[in-house]
Amino acid sequence: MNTLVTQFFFPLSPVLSIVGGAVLLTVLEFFPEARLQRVKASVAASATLLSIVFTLLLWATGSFEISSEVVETSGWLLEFKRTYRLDVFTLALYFGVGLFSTLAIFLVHFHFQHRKGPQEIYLLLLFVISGMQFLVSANSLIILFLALELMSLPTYVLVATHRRDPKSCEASLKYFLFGAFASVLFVLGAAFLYASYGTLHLGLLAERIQVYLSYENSPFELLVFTYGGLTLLMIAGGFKIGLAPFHMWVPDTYEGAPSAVTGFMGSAIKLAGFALFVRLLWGIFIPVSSHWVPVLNTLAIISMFVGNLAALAQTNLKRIFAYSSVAHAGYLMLCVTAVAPFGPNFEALYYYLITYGLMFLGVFAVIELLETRYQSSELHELSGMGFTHPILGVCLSILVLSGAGIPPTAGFLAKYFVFLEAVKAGHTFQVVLAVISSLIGAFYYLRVLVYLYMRENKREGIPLLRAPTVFVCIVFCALSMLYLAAVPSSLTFGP
Amino acid sequence: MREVFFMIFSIFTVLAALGVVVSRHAIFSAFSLVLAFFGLAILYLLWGTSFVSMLQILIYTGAIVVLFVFVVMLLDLKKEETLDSAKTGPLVMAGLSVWFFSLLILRALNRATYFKSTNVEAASDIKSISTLLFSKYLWGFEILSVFLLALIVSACVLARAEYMERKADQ
Repeated sequence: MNTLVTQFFFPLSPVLSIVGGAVLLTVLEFFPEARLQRVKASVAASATLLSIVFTLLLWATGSFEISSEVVETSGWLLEFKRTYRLDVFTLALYFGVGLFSTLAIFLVHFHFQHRKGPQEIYLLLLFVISGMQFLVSANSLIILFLALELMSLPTYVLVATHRRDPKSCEASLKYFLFGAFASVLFVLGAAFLYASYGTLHLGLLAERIQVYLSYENSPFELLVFTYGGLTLLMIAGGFKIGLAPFHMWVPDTYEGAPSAVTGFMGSAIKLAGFALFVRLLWGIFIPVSSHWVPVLNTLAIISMFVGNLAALAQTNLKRIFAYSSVAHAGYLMLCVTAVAPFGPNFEALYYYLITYGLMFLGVFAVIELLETRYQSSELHELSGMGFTHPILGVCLSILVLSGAGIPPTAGFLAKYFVFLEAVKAGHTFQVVLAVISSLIGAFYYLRVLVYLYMRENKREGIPLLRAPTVFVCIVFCALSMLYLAAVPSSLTFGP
Repeated sequence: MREVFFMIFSIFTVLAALGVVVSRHAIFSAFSLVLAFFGLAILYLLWGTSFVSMLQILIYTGAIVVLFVFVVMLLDLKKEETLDSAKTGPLVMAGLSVWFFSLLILRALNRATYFKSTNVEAASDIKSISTLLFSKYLWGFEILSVFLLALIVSACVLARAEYMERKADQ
């Protein structure tokens, strides 16, 4: 009994609190009264908060080894422990997912206070969150696939919540088609690896790839299936994180989805997508890193330039930040490829993911406020907002400066850490290109500031809605940009 | 003998799958799909996994394709809604990728001796499948239950959204 608690329920508690919340909400859906939406939102928010609390508890107790008594029983519990990976990375990612999801739930609540929408929105959100948690703790290709699907399928519905709005439907359909295609490629890649190595377990796969590919002349078909599988898995992952040239769905989907949902997708789903890359590339494909590093480096550079250059031409805030998220995927990928010769550095990647996610959520919280008030997310809606809404203006400026990577904010440090890793790995040329592309990118971030402070306000007397929760979210995101810049060590963790 | 049957039915399956894509009428596509699934079931049978083969026929052919056919019938496709002319560009792209991919596979399968050495556990009957499902793949099985619940809810949201809005209007 005691073993069951310490070895099963406690390590699983962050996931169980989310799934438990989802089950509770499923029951609550029997009562479709509109006034219960607040209750449902608080159930969802407390589930994610509980998950964060359990993550911190697990962190504090910090023992991740499979205990000997479990090994002796060698029943289902041992098999479970083999497929469920719990280490510091998993906990760090649990924390990130929990943080982004809590903020996103507040935004979604605000969004649907002012619009009609399905009742089950929080239930779907919790399913997506549980999918992400399964994903970051997966230790087997089959779990990775299931979690990826559990994360994606309710998201397609979340994007299409406004069924009368053709843009929302188009966004969802595009996301669905690209996502389904990516899933098929993922399954095929996993099948290739299974066919050649006879296991789905990531640890065993890593060992076998290390052993089999170190032979002088490995069988040709083994090489074909390993590299074929690697390529297919990378393409599938690239679709999920919106890396160029697999980014075609990003601007339309991010624009058509409700802003609150876009904030969630851009932060939490991107975090989970990079967790997938880290698990696959750093987990099992390190021995063949000389094959995928140049390819992904090139894609990273293409992403940065495509994202930043395309964002220059946009006038819609949602599209600007959608393209900027493509560019950010490029910077993050530069960190993923920095593996040789000192080994991968998870902390630089994590710092970037968290600062970028908070920046994105904060910006989309502001866009959510704008869109609810003015029914439009064009750049000129911001005109003069720096003076009519001083606190909001300052917060948005901090967030935007952080996105551009300008020094007093965390965005600068995040880029600095990533570039440092890449230089250490000998990718100096790529870093030079990355710096050039972020200089190009600074232009459209600064344009937001120009509209905030240097344009006439045409909307005199039509203030934004009072929304304390969203306001707190925005202030939290903006302050965390400054806090993380001042104390970057707050996101580091032991080995 | 088994190899011969295997080759015959794999070619049959691929042809049927191609039929799904190139048919101009939805109902032909659906019936090609039935053929493709039957071909797959026979392939499973040749591998000695009779249970999976039966499941393939029961679930895919019996349930899923029949649903497809029902939907196609209910939609009442008119003449103009069928694909009148297949574009050449995508077809050329598709042909190129199939060609490249089959080269890759054929080249690899040419020396297929390697695959006999990998020990993949053979689960052919219900008992061994369920034993595996509740021991080695238990965690995946549990996730699948959450996944199915999520799917049901998602489908309900998509299908019911209109109805709920109308109810709110009244």
